[in-house]
Amino acid sequence: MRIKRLLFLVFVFSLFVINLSAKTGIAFVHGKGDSDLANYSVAWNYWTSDMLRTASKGYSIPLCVCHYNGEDYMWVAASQVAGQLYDFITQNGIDDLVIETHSFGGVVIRWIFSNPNWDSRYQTIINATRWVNTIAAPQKGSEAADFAGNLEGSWLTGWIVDLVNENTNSTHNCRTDSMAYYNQYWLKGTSGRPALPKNFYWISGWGLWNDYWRKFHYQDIGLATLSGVVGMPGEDDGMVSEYSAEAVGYKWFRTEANHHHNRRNDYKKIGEALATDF
Amino acid sequence: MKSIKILIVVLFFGLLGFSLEMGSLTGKMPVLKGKAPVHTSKYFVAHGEIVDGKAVFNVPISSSNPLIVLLGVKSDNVAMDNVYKLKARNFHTPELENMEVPGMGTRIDGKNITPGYHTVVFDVKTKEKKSVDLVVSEPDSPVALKLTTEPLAVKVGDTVVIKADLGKDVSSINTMVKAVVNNEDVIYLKDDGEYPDEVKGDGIFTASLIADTDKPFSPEMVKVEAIGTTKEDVPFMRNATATFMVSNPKTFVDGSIVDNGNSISIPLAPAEGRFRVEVIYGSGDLSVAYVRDDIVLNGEGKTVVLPRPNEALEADRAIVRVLNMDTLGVEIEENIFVPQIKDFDEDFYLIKARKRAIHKLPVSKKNAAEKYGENPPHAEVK
Repeated sequence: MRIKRLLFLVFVFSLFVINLSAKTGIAFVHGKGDSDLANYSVAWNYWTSDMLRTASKGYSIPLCVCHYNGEDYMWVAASQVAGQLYDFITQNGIDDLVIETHSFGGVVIRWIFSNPNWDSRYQTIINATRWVNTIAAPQKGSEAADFAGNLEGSWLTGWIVDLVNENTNSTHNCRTDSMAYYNQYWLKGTSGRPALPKNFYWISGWGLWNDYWRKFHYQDIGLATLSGVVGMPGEDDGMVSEYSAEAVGYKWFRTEANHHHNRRNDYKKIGEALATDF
Repeated sequence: MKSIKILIVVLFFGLLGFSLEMGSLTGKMPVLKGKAPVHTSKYFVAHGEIVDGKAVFNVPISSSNPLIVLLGVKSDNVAMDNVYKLKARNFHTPELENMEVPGMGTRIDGKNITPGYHTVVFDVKTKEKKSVDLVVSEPDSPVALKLTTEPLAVKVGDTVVIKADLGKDVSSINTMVKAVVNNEDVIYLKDDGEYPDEVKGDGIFTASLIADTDKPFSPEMVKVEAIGTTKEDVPFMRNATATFMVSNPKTFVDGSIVDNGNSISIPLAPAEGRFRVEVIYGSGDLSVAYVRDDIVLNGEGKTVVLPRPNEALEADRAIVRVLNMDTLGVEIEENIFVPQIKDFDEDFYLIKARKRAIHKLPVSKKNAAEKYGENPPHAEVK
């Protein structure tokens, strides 16, 4: 009986020690955009200092702001992100990483977690991760990306196709049909596919106008207009429909913050919400 | 004895490779060659030149409350049919450029507009732009373009069917539907009841093409534009795009896929590159388990043997796939029958699926969700 008690105490103590030795870190993975998102400062501004400071509790938690070319396919972006995450984890001894993603960043991270043998660094990242929070990730694609394909050219109205630029790789990646393909063959986490090795928690956005009427905020009217033009199904945040953002992982919460605000700590306190993980 | 068994198991998986992965699944069995989404459009895009500070568009409007948006420049003055001025709101939203939609523009919420052709004139101040886009979205219109290209994942030489469903309200005689494939080939879609079209005059326009590409793998985009009238002679126009994925396989099944009861053998023809071999087991239309392994071929052929997971004993069918990890194309995808070793208990399966879907949030997350989460009282006006 004594031995059992002793073993139990040793077990509890060892858990306590293990918990004490865990080193927590926080990483941010941005969404799609221009090629200059490969620069650290541009990626930092994507999130804003207020968001990064608030989520990392005044920078008290070691922070990694990933930066990749916002025009790349998810597997190319994943390679850049994996390098930064791997260095962050190994150089700082992180073994309790929380990854925050916005928009396409959630798809990029899902590529890493779906294909652990693709790259020798992926498994280290997966092992060190506690969980992933995805904000407005187009896990089933975005109708806004489908719409962008229409702007490439219109023969009936006389647009000369030769003068038209092709969409970037990341926009192709975000199309609803492209994501249907990748979800069926290459990614984990959707219905009928293998489960992801770590928990993903989603935040989806349903608001559009946000503080346009009070502050005449210029970003909100454009997002509301795009949502109206495209005719996104159900509720959306101006760029990503909720059905898509909610397709992978477990529900954390829905927010009124639109696609501009839900990567910031301004209109709604998304940064404060992320900080509750620590 | 026990340690020898463990050693054998370790050696077995070691020989197969460290990338071997298996586990249970819940949800529907995948559709062979993929299920393409339906692209629904109630909008069209018109393009206009800017001449003497004005952009002029003559557009067909099929509903009384359209959302009209000039993209790329702002306009201070908008007039329709040279008769009345439209109330316009300018916007500047760089966020849209992340999705390659111009971030600047002018929005007009049309009210009580008579359906028909209308001339919209925008006064614009720009020296840089010589042309501009106009998008007209008509959520209230009875005409919607529902575009699909099936199947989603094809090989070179496969047939792809393009289907543009405009609904029964359109006049098939007065409507023209055209598709441009990869900005090159032009195809006219027909509603004449002849193959590949099914029923004449039902508002579903169809065409087919043979998938082709020189590349190892290529997403092919189809841009469809429909212009015509409804049966009540109301003019309309619609745009939509769809993509299908074409693979140019490097390997193939050299012989036949063999089910050995406790494993499946897949003989691959000589090839070079990295490949993922995957088997998805199912019972009826429900998926139950999967097994996969990543392999490298250096110009030789190989028979890949994948063990049948315990969770797959209830399966009566399997989908065998070989994916190309260098190109992301689908090399092989076949449906095979496998002997059912154990009865499939659907009730137990559904309970397991439900349990998997339910997840207890960590306390910190639960509290945060209560504090920061919001549910909309109603849909927002877009």
